[in-house]
Amino acid sequence: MWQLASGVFFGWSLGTNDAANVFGTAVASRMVRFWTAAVICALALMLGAWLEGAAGMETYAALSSGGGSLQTAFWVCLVAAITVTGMTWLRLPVSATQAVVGALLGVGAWTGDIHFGVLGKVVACWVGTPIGALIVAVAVYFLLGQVINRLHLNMFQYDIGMRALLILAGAYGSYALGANNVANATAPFVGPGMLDIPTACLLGGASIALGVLTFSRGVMMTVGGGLVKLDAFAALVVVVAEGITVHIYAMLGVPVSTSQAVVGGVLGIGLVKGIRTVNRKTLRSILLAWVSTPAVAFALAWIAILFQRSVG
Amino acid sequence: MGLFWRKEEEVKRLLEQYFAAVDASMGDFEKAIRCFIEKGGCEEFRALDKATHKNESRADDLRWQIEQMLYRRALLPESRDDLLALLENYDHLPNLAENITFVLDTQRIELPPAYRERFEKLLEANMEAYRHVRRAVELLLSDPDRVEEEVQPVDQFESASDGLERDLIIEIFRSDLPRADCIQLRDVIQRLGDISDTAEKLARRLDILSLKKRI
Repeated sequence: MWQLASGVFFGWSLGTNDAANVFGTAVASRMVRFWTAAVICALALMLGAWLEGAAGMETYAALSSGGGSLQTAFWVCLVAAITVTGMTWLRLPVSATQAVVGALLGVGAWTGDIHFGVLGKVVACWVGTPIGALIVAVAVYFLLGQVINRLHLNMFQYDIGMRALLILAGAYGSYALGANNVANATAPFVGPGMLDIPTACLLGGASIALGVLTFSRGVMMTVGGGLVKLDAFAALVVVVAEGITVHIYAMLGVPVSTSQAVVGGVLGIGLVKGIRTVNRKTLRSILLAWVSTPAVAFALAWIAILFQRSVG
Repeated sequence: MGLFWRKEEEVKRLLEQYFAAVDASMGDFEKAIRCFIEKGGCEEFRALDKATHKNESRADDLRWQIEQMLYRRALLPESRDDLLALLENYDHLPNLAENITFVLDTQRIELPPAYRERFEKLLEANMEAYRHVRRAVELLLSDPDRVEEEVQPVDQFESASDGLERDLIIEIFRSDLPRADCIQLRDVIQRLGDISDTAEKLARRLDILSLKKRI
């Protein structure tokens, strides 16, 4: 049972990092209070994990042929958690999915317990996520823009409406985050039979929610303030694009990165409003984190198994 | 549901009070100047000068309350910045009004009868510019698509005011009035003209603000 602690730890670290992707822009620009965002995010993502988290669990079960062992699950979650926590400490939004897959590969390098067909599908979706979010963001920008222009709102109506929409979109994005990413935290424990899928969804959702509530403010500020200066409407579009993209992948059962989706959305806004709005230095460091996350997780997992074998 | 936008409603209420206080100040100012044109610095003028000052002070207090509400995160950040900048500029109007009546009173300036008619026209041009800006502000907060209607005439009144200012100053300095009186009158005329200059700057800002929420 103690092995499960690494899954909870990983869920917690995922929450600390990924809440930024749904509420970061709104919180960093003071459109929504941190605590309002954190509580809504925690509740919505638990709901998403509970109602739609099962598909991703099944994908991870398929990723490790033979279901994997409890020891493997423990090391995968621990290594992924350490990787994500390290990136969070550096205030960089990273992909928890990439950390898990990097760790699975690191363990798989020793055990040969990897289903490369499923892995290829997951990695292909990593590329599809930012591109998909970019396209969705451009479409949402023009469609929603048309609707808002036709409403002829005054300053107060616009601001009240925009704040409400930001909260709603954040809740939807959080729901999609829970549905899509809960598998990262507890799916490795489903294969060995330690958890059934509904329990894994609930426990994973709760641990991610705990991360949101305790330690997510730092990355929220990076995502919201660092990459690009967004106005309320652009922030809304980014969150809607992120939510739609991640939700689609959740329904397909492919855990993807909300960080990649949100960066894709922000780039979509940059494309519509002029690419100069994007802070290239921050974008570079985020891209670096994307590459280094699976690499670090792979190396740590490989070392962990080496340690375990030499001790055992 | 009002619970969620209580601050916004409070800001709106305070803004209405602020603009009403400025209106009252500008209204007293107009009456004061008309009184000055007809009767000079009489008791009635002094009473109106005090009323102008009192309403200007009330507008200042309200502006401070609005700023506090905005810093407590009412409205979205971009609207907060826009509103703060708008208020800062709008506040020049009652300040100018108060300053003019104060100068007229303390310096005991007298307006020679030959200039009364044009001085009155100058006042009218500036007050018209103010009134259009006032309506433009009201529209910004209620029906922003119509702001342009009120913004456009401001430029005409500002130009008219400029012309009247120049003519009056030239004529005053060509007259036999003592140089000190000429300088005093020039200062008052220029400050009066500053109302339409301020109104014109505000009109441009309001025009931009009305377009900003379009996507």
